[in-house]
Amino acid sequence: MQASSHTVLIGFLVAAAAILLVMAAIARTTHDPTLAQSEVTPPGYALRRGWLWVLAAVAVVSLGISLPAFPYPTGGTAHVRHYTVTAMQYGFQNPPVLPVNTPIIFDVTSKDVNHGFGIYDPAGRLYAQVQAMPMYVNHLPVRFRTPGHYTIRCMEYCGIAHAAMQGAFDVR
Amino acid sequence: MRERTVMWAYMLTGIAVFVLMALVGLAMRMEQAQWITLNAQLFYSLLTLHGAGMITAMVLCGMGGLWYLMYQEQPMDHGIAWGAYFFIVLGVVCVIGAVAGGFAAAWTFLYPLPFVGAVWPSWSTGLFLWGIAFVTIGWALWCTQILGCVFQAYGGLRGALAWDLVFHHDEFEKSGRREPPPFAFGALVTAIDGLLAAAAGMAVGVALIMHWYHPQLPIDPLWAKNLTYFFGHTFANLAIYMAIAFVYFALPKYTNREWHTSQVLAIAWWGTLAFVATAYFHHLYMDFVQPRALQYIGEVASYLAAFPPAVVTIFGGALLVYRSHLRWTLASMFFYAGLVGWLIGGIGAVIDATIPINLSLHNTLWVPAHFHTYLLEGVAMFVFGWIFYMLETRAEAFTPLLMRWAIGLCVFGGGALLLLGWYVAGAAGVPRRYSMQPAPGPDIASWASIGAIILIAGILLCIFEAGRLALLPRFVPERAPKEGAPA
Amino acid sequence: MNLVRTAVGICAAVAALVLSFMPLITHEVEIEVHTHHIDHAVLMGLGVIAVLALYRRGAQASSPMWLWIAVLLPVAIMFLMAPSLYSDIDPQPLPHSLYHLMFVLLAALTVYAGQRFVRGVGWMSAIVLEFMAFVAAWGYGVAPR
Repeated sequence: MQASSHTVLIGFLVAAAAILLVMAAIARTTHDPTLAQSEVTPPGYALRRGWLWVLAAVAVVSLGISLPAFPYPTGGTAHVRHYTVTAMQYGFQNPPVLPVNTPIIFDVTSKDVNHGFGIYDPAGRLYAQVQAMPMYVNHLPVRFRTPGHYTIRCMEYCGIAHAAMQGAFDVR
Repeated sequence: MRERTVMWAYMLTGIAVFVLMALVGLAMRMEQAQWITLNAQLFYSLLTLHGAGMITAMVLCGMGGLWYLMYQEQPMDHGIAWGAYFFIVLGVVCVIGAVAGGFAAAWTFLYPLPFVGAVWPSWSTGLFLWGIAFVTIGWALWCTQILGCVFQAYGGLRGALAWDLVFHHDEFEKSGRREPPPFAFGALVTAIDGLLAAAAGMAVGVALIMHWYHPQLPIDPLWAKNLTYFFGHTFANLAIYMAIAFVYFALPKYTNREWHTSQVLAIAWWGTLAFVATAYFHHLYMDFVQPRALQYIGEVASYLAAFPPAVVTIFGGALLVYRSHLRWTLASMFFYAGLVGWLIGGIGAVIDATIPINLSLHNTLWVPAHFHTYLLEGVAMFVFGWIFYMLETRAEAFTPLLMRWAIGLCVFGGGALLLLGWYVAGAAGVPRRYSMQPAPGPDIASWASIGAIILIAGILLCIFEAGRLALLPRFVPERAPKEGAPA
Repeated sequence: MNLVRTAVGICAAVAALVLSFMPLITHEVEIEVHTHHIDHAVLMGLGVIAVLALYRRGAQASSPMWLWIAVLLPVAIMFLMAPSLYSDIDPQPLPHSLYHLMFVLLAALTVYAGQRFVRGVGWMSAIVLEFMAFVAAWGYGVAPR
């Protein structure tokens, strides 16, 4: 999951650099011979239509790719093993050992305030997360593919010891 | 002019709070870099103050400038504007008082915070809640006055939306009626969505205040979370839709071109009206108990919200500048840079608004990365641009090239370094709102703090330059001599 | 069209008055806060509809005092909707009915003030007020179901 965050960062930086270059190039044209607004707008509006179609295509493709990858539990989870996680100021009650390569569901709640159940893999990458809410139970489907020691960090500000709130479990 | 006094009161108060909050922000970043040590309660008190203060500062600047612009279209009662200002300032004073008392629940605290596990005195909780309530009342007063202004100026909602321009174009052109100028759409959308946000804020705010008085009063945490984010997201998001009015009005003057209201622009703002109000669901992606339909709406609305700015406003601004004889001054530089910042911040936002990606980025430093990009290199740039536009036109004087380069390098270079720190740390999974960050947080915070120092140096240069321009004599154009008069 | 609007307005006003006094008629004491909030929101909605339908003044703006009323009254109403404030009068039909009537009148005044400020603003005041009133049913004094 975290490998995708690095890809996302690189993609974002490339897009940001492209924007900077294009906008700098446009700014540079103010030193070129001036064109009247009436000369610039017709091709500009045509370019805008193209820009709209490009953005629309990107949006549709992104939505199409992301929809099947939504992390929410779908029907038919009764046969999947459930594990209860309870967050509280300032720690987690969770099972100490979890199975590798097995679909499981975390049933996450809180005893007091909103917390975030954030799972970091053995390499320190944020693997998955869900909110831990009082009076509610969030169900997080997960499959751990790598055995090892996993860290839990709180991902929702919960009080002044929020940064120190941690848990852990092993995957075997 | 008295209306300028209103504008300057709002904007200078906003700038003063902005500068103070920038210093608070630097202190936090330095703490995260482990350059200085702040105890956790102080850190989170400062975080609370910084969040509430910065948003209010930027919104104040937008309110002042947009009020002044709309006043030129339809005069408004000064008393209401001062009343709104009074409530907001009162709210800010209450928030500062609460934080001084130790309140540290963050400005988008989620019920049952700030009641459960509070290590701060109860009176500071009540003072904070009332402070936010006062700010919201001031905001609602302003929004309602602006809505009334827009209705009067353009003929009700139908005229303000330019409905007839879009659907009955030929008859509209023949009728001789005037369509709203582009900046008036910012006013309309801010007023309507702002009042909806205020309604959400008051609903949850009053419930929390009553819970503070009567702790046995139950509140549904998911309900509170929805309303808190509807208020908070929308309130913060509207800052840029207010500030863009400055660019619509003033950038054309530097390019000697026109930014007129077209059918496309009107339709784009209709989209903004709808999408700004519905995008807030992206804050609850990780609340799996949220009704599933709202998650889908959140992603779709968040994507759609990017279209009007990207396709119409930012593209339109770039088209205005292209092959124009744009005079590069501090004002035009800030306006143009703000468009760039908005577009880049928007990409960061849309990425995070994609649910499977949000699973890895939610509540990491990617979140402050994208909203600081909008607010620092978007809204603040538009505000600075407006202030320098007012000063430049007043004195017909401009900033020397060397000073422009110095300011630009500091503000954009320092800003880029600061922002990059958050994007990189967020992608590395470093959580947000951590007083002590896990690796690689502290190392990244070190160079980000350098960026913040450079950025603040740039802001101070801006203040110096603004002061210099303000002290210059007002420019008075020479009158041509009358015929027959002695030379 | 004016006739229809007038009829709608009068019917809404009458319904608001009659329904306000239901506690006196049925002697029912509402137990669930969720339902009680919705009842109040409906009563206020009827008052809002009555004013919007019957308002006839022209479009000229008037005193800024109306804006203050239009903005501050909904805030006051939200406070008055706190279940902890009216739980004692709930079992008493007359005070309970008068409390309902108060909501109707305050809601009507809010929207009237908005319309008096600038014609058209009353509609936004109505939306704000009804949004707060209905949304309260799902969390204000209400624990998760």
